[in-house]
Amino acid sequence: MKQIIFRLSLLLCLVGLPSITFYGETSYTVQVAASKSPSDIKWFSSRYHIDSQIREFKEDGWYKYVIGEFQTSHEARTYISLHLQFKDLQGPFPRTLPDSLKQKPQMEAAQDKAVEPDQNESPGAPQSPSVSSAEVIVPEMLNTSPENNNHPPAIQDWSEKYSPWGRLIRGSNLRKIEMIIIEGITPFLPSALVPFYIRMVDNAIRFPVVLFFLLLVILFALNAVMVMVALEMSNNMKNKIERFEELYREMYERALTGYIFQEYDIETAIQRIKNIHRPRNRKILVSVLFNFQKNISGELDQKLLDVFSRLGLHEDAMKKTQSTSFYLQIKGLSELTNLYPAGAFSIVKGLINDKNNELRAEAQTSYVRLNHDEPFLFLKSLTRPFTQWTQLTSFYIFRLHKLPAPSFVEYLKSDLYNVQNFSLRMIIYFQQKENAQEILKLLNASRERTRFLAIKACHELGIQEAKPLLKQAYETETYKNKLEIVKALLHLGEVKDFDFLEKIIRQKDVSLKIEACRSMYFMNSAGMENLLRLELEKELEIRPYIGHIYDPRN
Amino acid sequence: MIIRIVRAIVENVILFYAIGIFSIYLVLAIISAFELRRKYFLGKVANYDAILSSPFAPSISVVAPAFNESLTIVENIKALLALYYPNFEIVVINDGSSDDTLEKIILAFDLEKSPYVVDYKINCAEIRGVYKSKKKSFNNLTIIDKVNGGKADALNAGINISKGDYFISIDVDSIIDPYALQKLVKPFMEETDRRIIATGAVIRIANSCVIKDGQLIEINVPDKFLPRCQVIEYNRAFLMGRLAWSRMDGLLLISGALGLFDKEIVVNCGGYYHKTVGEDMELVVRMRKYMTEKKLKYGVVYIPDPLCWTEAPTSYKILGRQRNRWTRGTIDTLFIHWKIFFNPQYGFMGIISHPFWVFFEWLAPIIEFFGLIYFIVLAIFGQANWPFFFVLLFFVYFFSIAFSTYAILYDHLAFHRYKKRRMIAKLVVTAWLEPFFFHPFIVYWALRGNFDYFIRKKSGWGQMTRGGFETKQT
Repeated sequence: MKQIIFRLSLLLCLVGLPSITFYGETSYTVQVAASKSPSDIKWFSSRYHIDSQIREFKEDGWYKYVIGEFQTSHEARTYISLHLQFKDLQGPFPRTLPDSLKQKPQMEAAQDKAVEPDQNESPGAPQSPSVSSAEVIVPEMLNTSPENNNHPPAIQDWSEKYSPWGRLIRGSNLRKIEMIIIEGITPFLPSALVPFYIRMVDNAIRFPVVLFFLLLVILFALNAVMVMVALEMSNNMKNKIERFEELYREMYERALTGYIFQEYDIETAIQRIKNIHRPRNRKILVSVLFNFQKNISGELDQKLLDVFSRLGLHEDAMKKTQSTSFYLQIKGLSELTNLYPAGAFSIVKGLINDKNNELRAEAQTSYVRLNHDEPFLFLKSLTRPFTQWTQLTSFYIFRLHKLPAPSFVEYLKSDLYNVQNFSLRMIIYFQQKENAQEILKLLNASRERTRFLAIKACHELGIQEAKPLLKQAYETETYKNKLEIVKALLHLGEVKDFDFLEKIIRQKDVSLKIEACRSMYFMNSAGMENLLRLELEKELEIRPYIGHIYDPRN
Repeated sequence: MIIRIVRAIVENVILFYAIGIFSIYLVLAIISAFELRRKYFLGKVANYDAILSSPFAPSISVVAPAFNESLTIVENIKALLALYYPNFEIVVINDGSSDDTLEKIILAFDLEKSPYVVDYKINCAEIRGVYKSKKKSFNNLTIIDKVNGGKADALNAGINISKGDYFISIDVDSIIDPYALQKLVKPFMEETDRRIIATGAVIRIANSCVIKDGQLIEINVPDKFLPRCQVIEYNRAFLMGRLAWSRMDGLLLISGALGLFDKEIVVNCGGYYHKTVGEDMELVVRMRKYMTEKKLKYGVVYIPDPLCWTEAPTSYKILGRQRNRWTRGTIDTLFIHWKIFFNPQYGFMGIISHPFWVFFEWLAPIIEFFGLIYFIVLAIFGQANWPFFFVLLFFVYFFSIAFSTYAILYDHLAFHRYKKRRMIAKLVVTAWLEPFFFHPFIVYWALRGNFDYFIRKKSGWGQMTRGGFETKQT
């Protein structure tokens, strides 16, 4: 993912969308009058003080008079509100531009007399009363206001059929809202921007997708500003907290040092630990206590525990262990284990098999820390995994506190393969040779890793009984384990195993060959001689291998 | 009529594509936020002291290819030797350098050629020699001298020689956090019901930072605009993308600058594919494919800690080459593993990850460019709707600003590396400017990458010149 989001400006291309997807080729005009017979346009213009060109066309038996061409109905409506509403003329309404005016020059359209007027229909309003043919009729006289049934079909469709806004809000109300938005803002805009603004509002109201994007623009703009404010605040806060922590950390360290090294008693130390009622200060103190504890032990350690309990910090830790946040639970458990061990063990025992991996890991290492006599006893009751990371941490705790090593052979019987693996590692580390039979059983374990460790254990502990089993298993073992078997023969092998190793040396695999040479060469002097004998066979090309294994750095 | 239908189809495809890409990035950002929070708290309670002194720490080989790195190689190796981990070796591969890289290393670390039989488990160019130090203090250092074969080939050579159970592939000129190994290896050791095959971490930009003896002394926001844009870009990619993919187990890319891999799986997969310039992504995809085909449970994990600091290109020319290469690498990987595309046999990777890369990584710049051309044509013919144009322009702009500022915020909350107000202000201003002065170039380079891949059939890396870290006096 190389450029994540900025390529999103591909949306620039979307700007072309409305041109067809939403528009089609419909355009609008404003109808100002209609009559059954042709009227004098000049008289009409002067009567109502209209400067714009009035065009005439014939439709459904009526002579209709319109002004202007607009891309949207709302532009037309805005034109009405801006240019026609203060004239005597009332009730002009937007409507779709007839095809005759679109395709032909207006004069041509006006002269089109081919179609006879239909006396029974009004301009777009079938129920309107008929009027005399000579009279010029303005729309309000026909009772055909656009708010009623003389509304252009395109707008009606949009507002009441297709637009979700139209369904939610009645079309007329939506138009009122639109007019408010337009009229409320246009007086403040430069005149050059007015048509642009009107079209934008019109698009936004007509097409939900535009409105949606407009809202998103506002949302993201606000969001960006909010994030910047958050950044500023967070930066200030973090820097303040750092300074605050530094200040109090120093103060608490001084107070504790004085107490630990017997300059003064616990009461004085507690007095010097200021503002400890504040949660943040308590947090700082706990962290200081942890740091101190890493470097001291015995009686001095006990002094830290006294401070912890005297200040009631163990109660905080207890509360944390009851939290729903695994992070706080871990924190609480850790604090209790290290600084209030008396109250920790029962909680730890309950969490040994917790389903949360992190919390369980903490509980397992805490158990090792708390149960000095049998630090790994929990392995017997373990039903959930004992991860390699936890094994490593447990072992670290175990060594740090110089705890007595139990016999790990008994844990080899565990159903959990990771407990078996851990036990094998410990057996190797502590060279626990007793009960080799249990180790041998694991040479047939289902897991490759367990078999690998079992082979390694046989190797490291020098379990001679394992040799025939290992040689027997060689052919069927995985590559990694084959290598380990060959390595094991370095310590377990003897002269009669040369044939086995020689067979491997005569094979093509380089790594196996190297290890077989190594095992033979360093097994005993007979092995060395045997290898030098093989060196004479030119096709085996043993010489570089001898050079390789002879260099201890390889 | 036909034109109208075609237009309607094109425009609706673009609309739904755009809605798709925005939605996905939004979802990724949300998932990343939760994951970052979780990892942040986990990091606070993790005890790394245990592994530092443990005899059971898994063995790790640090594999670092070097090509004509004469100027900085000795310092870089020294920095690697200072990593905090109890059981690791360093394998530096001199990939047929034409300068005196090898001679400098030999001299600095008192090396001698060791008799070594190489097991070519993975194909690589001929290894001319393996060098080891006469000094015990450098006994975990191995230098390989080989015939030039490119980065992937050099890594394969390193893997063949390495002894560790895991190996970490790095760019030798990057600065690795001293605690990187222990943090990267942790996920491998925490899983029991699945095998972790690779881990990656956040890569950060080191331009303008104070570096001494290969160690990062002081963190600064880059002075120059271009690296600063990359800081934001990396934050977005690592903290708002890869973390989420990792959470969903759909991560297909571990950066070549820093990644820890299970060696056994890599060897079984055949190592790095040296015929592609996107060897890092290709390897991860191949490993995942291998595990799925073997019906083995596995995971690829990303950790949000910034463990590697690298020098970002400071000129448009060099950056262009880098992005061109990334594009070609992406296309190459996607086509090599086309079998995965919408293949339910490969689970989440087949249904989501691979198609995501196809549609929203590879095709995104192409569609963006096409959209732009389409709009220009509409505008020329007077068909454009300008109010729509501006509404959507603002939308894209503010979305990207919000996204970038969130990336800065994520980084700030999790790591608090840039402490001074001036630093944050610089980043925020960059985020506002980036869409105009950085992103168009990214699109252009991606298109060039496509052109080079499909038309010119270019397959090389191109020259990647680094200026070297500015070593400021503290």
